[in-house]
Amino acid sequence: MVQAPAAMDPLAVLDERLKTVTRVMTSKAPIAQTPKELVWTLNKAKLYRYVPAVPEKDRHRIPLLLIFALMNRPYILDLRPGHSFVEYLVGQGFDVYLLDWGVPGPEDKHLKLDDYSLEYMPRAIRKIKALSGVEEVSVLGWCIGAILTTIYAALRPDDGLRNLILLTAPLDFSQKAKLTFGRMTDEKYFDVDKVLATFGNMPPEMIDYGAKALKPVENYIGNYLKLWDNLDNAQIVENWHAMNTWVSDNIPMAGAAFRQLIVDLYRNNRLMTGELVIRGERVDLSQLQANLLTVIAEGDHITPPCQSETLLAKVGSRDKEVYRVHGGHIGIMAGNSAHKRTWPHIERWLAPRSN
Amino acid sequence: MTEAEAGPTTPPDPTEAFRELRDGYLEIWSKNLIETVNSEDYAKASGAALDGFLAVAAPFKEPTEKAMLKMLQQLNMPTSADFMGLAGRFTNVELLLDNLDAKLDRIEALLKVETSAHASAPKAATKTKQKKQTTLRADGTSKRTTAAKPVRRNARKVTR
Repeated sequence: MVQAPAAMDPLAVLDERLKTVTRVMTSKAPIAQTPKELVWTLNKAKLYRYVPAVPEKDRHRIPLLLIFALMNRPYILDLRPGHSFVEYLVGQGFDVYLLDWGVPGPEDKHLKLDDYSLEYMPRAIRKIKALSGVEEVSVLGWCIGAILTTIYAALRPDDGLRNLILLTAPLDFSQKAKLTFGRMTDEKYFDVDKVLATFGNMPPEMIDYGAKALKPVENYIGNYLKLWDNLDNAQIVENWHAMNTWVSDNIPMAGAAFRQLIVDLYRNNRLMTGELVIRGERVDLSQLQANLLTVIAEGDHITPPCQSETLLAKVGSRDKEVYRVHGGHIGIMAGNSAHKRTWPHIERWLAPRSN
Repeated sequence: MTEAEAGPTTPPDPTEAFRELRDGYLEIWSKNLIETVNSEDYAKASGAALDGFLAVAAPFKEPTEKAMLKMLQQLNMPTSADFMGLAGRFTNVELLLDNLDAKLDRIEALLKVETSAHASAPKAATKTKQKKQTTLRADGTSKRTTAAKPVRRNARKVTR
């Protein structure tokens, strides 16, 4: 930590600190800086291809598609230069694509998990195959993105999906006592149809409140104290600024998809019991054949480990692995130690399977 | 630890003790609140609060929407329903364009395969085939496949 000069006026120091706090709390940090090009769109969804940083002969053959959750912006994967998972992958020679779901408007309230996993995803993957000239693809799904990719992988096993990486995947909802969200959205207390009849889509403020309420002291007090305590450390301040920009940039979730998440998954655990029906097709997890890596965050309060652990016993993949990492739901990929643990592990697992 | 090991440039921080006390207090508070949030009582209370909000908000929603619709219609202006319908139609057009894009990609791939197969065939065989095709073309019953041009995909690249 940089020490303030002894002769410096304490009021001037305080003034400087307050100016820094005001700046990082009221402005948006420059984020998602890795060069990319827009290659495909459908409705609000956009598919980006990151500009390769490695000569073609040194690149991995199979492209990688990144899919994030529906209620947050995907640029957490490309937070800021020097602290970006996307930048890291591009530097390691991967042909990286990102599917940004966009912001659903009132006209998209009918969009279901069915549409995302069987309309948008297959079309985006077809486009990736056409652009890269390769008939196989790897997909990384994070949080609800992991639900969508799992559904897609189980329903379309012959679509060229070679490698599947799931990050903090909420798939098993059987252990209700460990799921705070499950309790909050129980049918006794939460009328999902009434909420959606009023709002159409699930408002971002309600989703944000639900997530932050799980750890109220950390999110509403500890987070700001961390900033105040480290105001002399420029790197921590800039990281905080970027993360705060992402955390406060919430988007609504399409009403019908939110209803499926609550009714089919949280309340009835239909994916794990083999009862989930997507566009008339029953999702059978034993049909999932792709090489599988599941990353579990041991300190995850949003998706506890019990929600991801049981998947491996259900899938038909022969090559499957669980990687447990110390950290929280977002921290394992965007925290300060992500580039030392999670990113290199994913790279080491994916690289030999991408040629 | 001796003074020399501690380093002469590190003065004692008077706020350190306060910070430790504060962090300890917050940790206890955090554990208690997490337990509270994770209880049936909290779920019941938050559900009741949400119901109360919806009970207040819902009765105003329908009349407001109806009044707005009527006003926009009287002013001969498009309503939100019109925009939503338009957005749906745009998405359908996009889907059709994407289907066309997929078909063009398939055609392009087939043309590439055919062209490369043709190029790798022995010269003699190619000559014979070309002769045969030319003959057929003269009869007006066939076209030379090698003459097919790749489909132009990007409108901006088309030469005027």
